[in-house]
Amino acid sequence: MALNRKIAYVNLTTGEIKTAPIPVEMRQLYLGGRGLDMYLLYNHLKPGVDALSPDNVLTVSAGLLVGTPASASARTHVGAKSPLTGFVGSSNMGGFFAPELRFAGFDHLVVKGKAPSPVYLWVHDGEIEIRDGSKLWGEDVPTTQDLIREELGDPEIKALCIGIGGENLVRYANVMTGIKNAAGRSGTGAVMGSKNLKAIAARGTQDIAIRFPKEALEYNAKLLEHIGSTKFAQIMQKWGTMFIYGVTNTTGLVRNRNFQSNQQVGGNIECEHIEEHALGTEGCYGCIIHCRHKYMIRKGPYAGTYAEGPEYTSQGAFGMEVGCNNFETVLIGNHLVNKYGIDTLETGSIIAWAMELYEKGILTDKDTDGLKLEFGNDEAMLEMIKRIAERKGLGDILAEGPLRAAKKIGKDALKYCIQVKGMSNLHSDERPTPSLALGIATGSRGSDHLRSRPAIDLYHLPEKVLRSIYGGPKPYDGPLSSDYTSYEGKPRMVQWHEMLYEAIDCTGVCKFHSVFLSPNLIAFDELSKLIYHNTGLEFTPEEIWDIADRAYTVERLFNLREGLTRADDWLVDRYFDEPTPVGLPIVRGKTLDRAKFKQMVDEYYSLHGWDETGVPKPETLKKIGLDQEPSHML
Amino acid sequence: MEKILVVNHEKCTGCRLCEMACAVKHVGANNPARSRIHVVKWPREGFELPMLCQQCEKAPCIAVCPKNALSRDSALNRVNLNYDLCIGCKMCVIACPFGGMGVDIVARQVIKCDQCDGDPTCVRFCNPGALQFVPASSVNLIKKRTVGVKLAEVMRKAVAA
Amino acid sequence: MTETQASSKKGERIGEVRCQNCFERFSPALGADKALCPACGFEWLISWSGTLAKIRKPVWESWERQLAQVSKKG
Repeated sequence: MALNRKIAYVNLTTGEIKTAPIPVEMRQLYLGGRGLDMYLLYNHLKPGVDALSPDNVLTVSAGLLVGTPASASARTHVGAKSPLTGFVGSSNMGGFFAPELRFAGFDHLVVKGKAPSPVYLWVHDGEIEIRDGSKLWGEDVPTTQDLIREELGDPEIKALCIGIGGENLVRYANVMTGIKNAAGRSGTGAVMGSKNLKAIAARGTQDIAIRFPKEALEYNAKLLEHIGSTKFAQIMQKWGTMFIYGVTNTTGLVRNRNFQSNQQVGGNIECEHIEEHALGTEGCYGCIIHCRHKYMIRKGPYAGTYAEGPEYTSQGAFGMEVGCNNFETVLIGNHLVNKYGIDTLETGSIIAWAMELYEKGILTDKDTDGLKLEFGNDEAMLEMIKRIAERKGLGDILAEGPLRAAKKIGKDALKYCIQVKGMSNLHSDERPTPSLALGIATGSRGSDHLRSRPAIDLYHLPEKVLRSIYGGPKPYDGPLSSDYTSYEGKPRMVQWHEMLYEAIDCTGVCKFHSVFLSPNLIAFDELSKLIYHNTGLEFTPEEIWDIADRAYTVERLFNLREGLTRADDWLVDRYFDEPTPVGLPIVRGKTLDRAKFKQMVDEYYSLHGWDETGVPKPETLKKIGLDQEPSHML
Repeated sequence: MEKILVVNHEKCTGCRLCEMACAVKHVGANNPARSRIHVVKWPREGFELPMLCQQCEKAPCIAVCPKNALSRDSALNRVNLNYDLCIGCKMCVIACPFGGMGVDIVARQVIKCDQCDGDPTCVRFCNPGALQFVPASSVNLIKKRTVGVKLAEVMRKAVAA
Repeated sequence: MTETQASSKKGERIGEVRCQNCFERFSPALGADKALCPACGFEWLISWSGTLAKIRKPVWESWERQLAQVSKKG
């Protein structure tokens, strides 16, 4: 049945490979995917190891519902100790790798040690081989996958891999699959690079048995019909995530010129420009939202290049943040980071920061080797992407991530750096939106929107609707506010989305099918039914919340073990001291209030059952069964 | 009414939901190796093409079948496979010019699209409409109208000018 | 199903946009590339995909003037 998938432990130093079944008891505790990966990291990693040493552990997994008629059940999760933050590393991507891993008989791979020379893993129908990867080393992301398919003689092989970013240990290098699917943010690509592991290829022909196939298909058909009928899905099908720019830049909720403005006035990189370049859209496995554009770069030095994307994040990275206002530049930047396998968001943010340092005279022409690193200099920005991936000149420093780079640059560099836990903030400006700000301040993997962002807070939903969402599955009768500039009830929203996204990531369903950018999609009730029809496992919505709570608390324990303190759940001073200069009246002149923000963090801790230092209370751990961790059950 | 399953590759997003729905419907498990439909892809150019049994009028599979297990089903306008007669020799797999005949490695038998007896599951799950089950008599008319919309717009503009 | 699920039946709101200044929903004329919010008077560029409407961006040329107008209204 769908649960009958194995875990494999691969030691690259010794070449030893062991496989084991995954007991159903572990499914009941963590489902799979991100949840089980977090358990594995907590149990297999020694505290305090160097993230780029052979002691780090890399986990690759497919969620519990991957390859079943759930909804966009395509997600691969990649875990490790993050070389960027030093805390939990957790990256997630779509595409077609995770289903293929399951067809090949596996749900979780745990990779340890370091190969003496470049290798790749070949996972096929219950077997795993370590193969010579020296011919692949130095190749870009799509070429690496092509070469593997060629070498093994099967065009249906799905592979994940690193580009030169991961090989060069750029601390925010991604694990990639396909043209642009990226397990990003946490630098898991650098971990692969540090292990001399260039790629993992999978191909399988094993059944994923569905517990109640008729019911599962019928339920899925109805769910997809509902999802497809929403305006959100139709907008995404047409424009992808780039549609968000139309709201956020107009309102004044984006970072512009690093953090100096909250709007690109005159912004001209909205999603509609994609029509001149698009060849159509693509879906990940089993997904009807198909938000990924296929496009061709038509002009300039990259003319004739086929690429996919870009996402909203790349509009920020190569548009608003760096003060560039050309859609073609976004298309090229997006192509470059995906080819090199480095994180689009971190790359854009760190270049924007370097640009502000250049503007302030902290970085000079000497540091940039003569490159005029000015806001709005498209060519310099694109050149900097290359230098980061190749670790050349200033690029070598910026490849180290914000905190290490700030230390090397010295002077006041850190003051201008927009980061949490050593991870650059995305290109949204959260000064007017306390809920979004709390989310990035407290996210377990660092400053990030995919841990807990209550994006629907921006929609001014009526309180009745908010109550119907946030009032369950665990009872909550505290305040809720439709006003996104308010601090009222926002910790609950953050906690609720944190739990939902954790549960979703355990199943391998895509967040875009959940209550993330639309209030109408999958939440705990629907997950409960999807899990039951496909696997036969019975969980109430409350029990799914408990599983998510357990998995998220393991992430918290991991971070605490690596030295996290309450001070790490905080934003940089600029959020509190510099008011937003522009935008619509609702967002203008806003800063966050330190006292109110502190109160929100307190409330957030208390909702989790953590004490005022952010440490889970003993009774909390006992309640969710974590008082005996690490328990080494797998 | 006689219907045929038509593929519009331009609408295909390559999500493979058709493969999954087909396998789950027919064998109660997801396994593309046991699916009757496959999306063939060229990932470096973003081109995808769903392929399945074309239900040929002069079907090579019927012609080569030594046991008459394959036959024309005029009621459902398809090529029928009768497992009671099939000996699993796989001559049909060799003869099919489209790869429409496959081998189910678990059930140890040849497989082909049966159009789910008149209500194809893949069509139901194909949200972008790349797979459609339409009356055979008007299949070209549907295409003419789709293309005609664009043409008509140009002509209207020309007339107005 | 949540409240909002029940209210988002097929077709509903497809031709509507929501003013980004005052959050009022309104329906621009089908195919129009500009529309004024009937509630606050802000002018928006509109894009279409069939009957699906979406605010594209503000009319940047008159952005400051429009902002001054809405702040005067309070």
